Amino acid sequence: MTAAVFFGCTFIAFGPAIALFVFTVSREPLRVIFLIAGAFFWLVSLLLSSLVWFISVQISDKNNPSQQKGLLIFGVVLSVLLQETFRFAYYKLLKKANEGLLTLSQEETMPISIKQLAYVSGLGFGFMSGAFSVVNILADSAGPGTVGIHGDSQHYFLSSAFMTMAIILLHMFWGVVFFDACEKQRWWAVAAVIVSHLTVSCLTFQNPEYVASLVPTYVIMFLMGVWAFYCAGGSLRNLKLCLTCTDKDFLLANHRAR
Amino acid sequence: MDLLPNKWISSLFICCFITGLSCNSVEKKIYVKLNYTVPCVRLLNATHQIGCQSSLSGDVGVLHVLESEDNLDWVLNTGHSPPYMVILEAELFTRSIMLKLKSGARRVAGVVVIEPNTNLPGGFSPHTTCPNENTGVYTDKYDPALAHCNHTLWNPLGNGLSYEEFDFPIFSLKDDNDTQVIRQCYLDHNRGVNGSAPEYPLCAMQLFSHMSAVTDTPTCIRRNKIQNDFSISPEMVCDPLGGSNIWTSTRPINNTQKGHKMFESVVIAAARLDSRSFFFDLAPGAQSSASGLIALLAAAQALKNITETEETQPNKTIVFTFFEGETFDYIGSSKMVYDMENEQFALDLDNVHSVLEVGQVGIRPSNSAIWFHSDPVSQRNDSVKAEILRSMFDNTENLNMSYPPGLTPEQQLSFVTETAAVAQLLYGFLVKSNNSWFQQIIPSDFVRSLVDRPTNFYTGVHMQKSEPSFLVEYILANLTGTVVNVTQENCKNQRENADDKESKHLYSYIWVQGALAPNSTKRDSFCVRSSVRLSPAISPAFDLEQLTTSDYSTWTESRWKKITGRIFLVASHDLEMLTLESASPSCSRLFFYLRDQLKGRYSVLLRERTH
Repeated sequence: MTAAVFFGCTFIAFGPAIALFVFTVSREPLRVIFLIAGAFFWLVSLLLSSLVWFISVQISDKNNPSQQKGLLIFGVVLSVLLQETFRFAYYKLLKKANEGLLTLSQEETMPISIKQLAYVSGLGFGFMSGAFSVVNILADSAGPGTVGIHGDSQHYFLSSAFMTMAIILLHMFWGVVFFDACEKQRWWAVAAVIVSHLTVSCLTFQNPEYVASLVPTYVIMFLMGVWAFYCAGGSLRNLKLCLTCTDKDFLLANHRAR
Repeated sequence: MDLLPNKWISSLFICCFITGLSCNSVEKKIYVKLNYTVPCVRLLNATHQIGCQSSLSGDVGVLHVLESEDNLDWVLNTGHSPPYMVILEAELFTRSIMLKLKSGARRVAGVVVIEPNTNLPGGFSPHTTCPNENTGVYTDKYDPALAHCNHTLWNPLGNGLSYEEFDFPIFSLKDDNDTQVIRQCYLDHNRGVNGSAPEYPLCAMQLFSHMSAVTDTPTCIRRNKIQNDFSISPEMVCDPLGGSNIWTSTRPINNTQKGHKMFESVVIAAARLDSRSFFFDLAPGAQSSASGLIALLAAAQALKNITETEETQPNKTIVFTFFEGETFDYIGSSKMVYDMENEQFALDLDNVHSVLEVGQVGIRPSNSAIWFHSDPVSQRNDSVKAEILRSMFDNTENLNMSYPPGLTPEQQLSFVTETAAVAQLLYGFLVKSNNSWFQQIIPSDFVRSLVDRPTNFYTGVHMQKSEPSFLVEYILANLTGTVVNVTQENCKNQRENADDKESKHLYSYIWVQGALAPNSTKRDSFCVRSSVRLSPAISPAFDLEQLTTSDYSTWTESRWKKITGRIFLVASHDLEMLTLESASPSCSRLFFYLRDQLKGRYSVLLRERTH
């Protein structure tokens, strides 16, 4: 019955992302378009970095394990840097597109704000990154066997799914922080995003000690989440008002409904 | 500008394709594929199906190495994690154990038998005690006292396993490194500590051997017809067994003129070409068939010199015949008789004076007598004790064939203990058919059919030439024929020269490779003229379309798609359900709740602080 493992891991990995997509993005066509474009940008960055890694592996000595490990680290670092470069490129493209959209549209205001763009582009990056991380593993989890006959840990599928969930949400937070930092010209924030991305990717080298890689990743995810919340305009006061249902809009709306 | 991205993209695709071809690394972490697997396949006849099959998506079972017959209780009753894949050493592959496993079908996923390196001491035969019981000479109508082995049991050790039906897969593995991996996996994971139940994860095996045909031959032939008539790409489900009979004669017989030949009175000297075992394609057949046919081939060679000169020629022609498919209710011989009766063969039944069959004649030190049987009954001797009839143990060890250690294959081939021809034939059939003598006597197109292992005597489906028939055809041509000075083109067109139209009725011509010239790769090829002919060996039941008959053989072999096996670990059921449960609440429920709460209130949450 490893259909159970397959569906379980799928929902763990993609559940939050799909829920976010369904409830916040799917209603607005512009957001959907920019999400898919963001996913495409991530895909191109992966293609480039994998091409470089593939060529370097073919050139190298295949029988030297330390060289292969070194190449892998190099590949990961290169991939992270390329992803962030493409995120920046996407930001530039969106700024130009926004100007174009503004001149074309009839209205005075922008149809989509840069903050929303940051969110959907981050989510798009996250979707594509999650797909490439975990679809391969999901396909094999549907078979009758589980990992372990050569001595690997049994929790391979589960921890891969949790890691993927973390990475998808992290991409979304990074997108928000990154775009906000670029808007306000805060380059130290951009560097922090890149450094945290590198940290999370390099934490996966701790596998198969899954605790050592998953726990710090979730801590970083929580911290980035808080930072993204503040970048997007949230604050503790707003949070309190929202959760206790005592803000002006809510009171007015409910008063009218009654 | 347009060309550059295209080239770049196409090279990217090629790179990605090449990487995709290499094995998926996650799959390598999970599964270990078995390299050498010999399955037991399904055979069908007019009324039954025999053999084994797996389900369409393979059968998965937790490994269990059976220690003794009493240990079956764990598999059938007390084990905590059925279904089990039972691993049997060869001594435990007995009828009583297999029938008990058959009865515990829900808890048995399959059986794996380990081929031992030496033969079992007591002998073993999975065939029935009375082979070809219903199609033999003695039936209820002809000397019923001798029918159904009432008088003499020909195969007393037979346990009849080959003729049982199993609905789980049964495979055979060699006792090599792969099997050691399996045993180690079992010892590491499937043995509980101090007699308690073993803990997950457990080592398991999956076997694929799904057979397309079911029920019996009339059903599968009918389904073949339906596929042929109605399907765009027809998928056959079964094929009749058979092949070709090989025959030759001491004096040339006109093969184009069928039917009765005036003034011909022949003696048929026959041997059988095939054998079988419980497992598919694993039929060494040393005593069952090789001994007889090698003896007959040696006799044909010896008689060749005598029959060439007029003075010493016997007054009856001797027809040496090698019948295919005799194991399965006499396919070859019944077809030849049917052809004789219907004037489809070069001779007629009236031309036949007598028949001599050379059977199991391999002398063993423990039993140095050879028995001669005749019919009708006047004197009756006991039969040769057919101890290893038609099993996978009927190999060189059974015939007490051994070579001093340290000989190269060439030296083994020419290791003469008896007549040179017999020694070389024994080597070629029972040790390695890819040897220098066999390479010389076959046409160059068929060099790839020679193999580095003992010949497989299983008759197989009728479209495919079985290994012994292919070898016997060319051996017989070379041993009984003459070398003629004919060009390659004429030889291949069955004529002596460009105007010759008569020779092909009497003779057949084969262009053989010949010996390797020293220090070169070229061969001195030449033409051999002989009287060797092939005649079809497919049961008359299929020509007559009487598939429910009991007069002729109706054996067919099922077709299949995939025969493979692999081992891996299985996780406990609880861990899998935990994975599924941990998914649902963490994601959707939380967001459903948040969505209800935050409907339209995002702006509040993300509003800039206004002063």
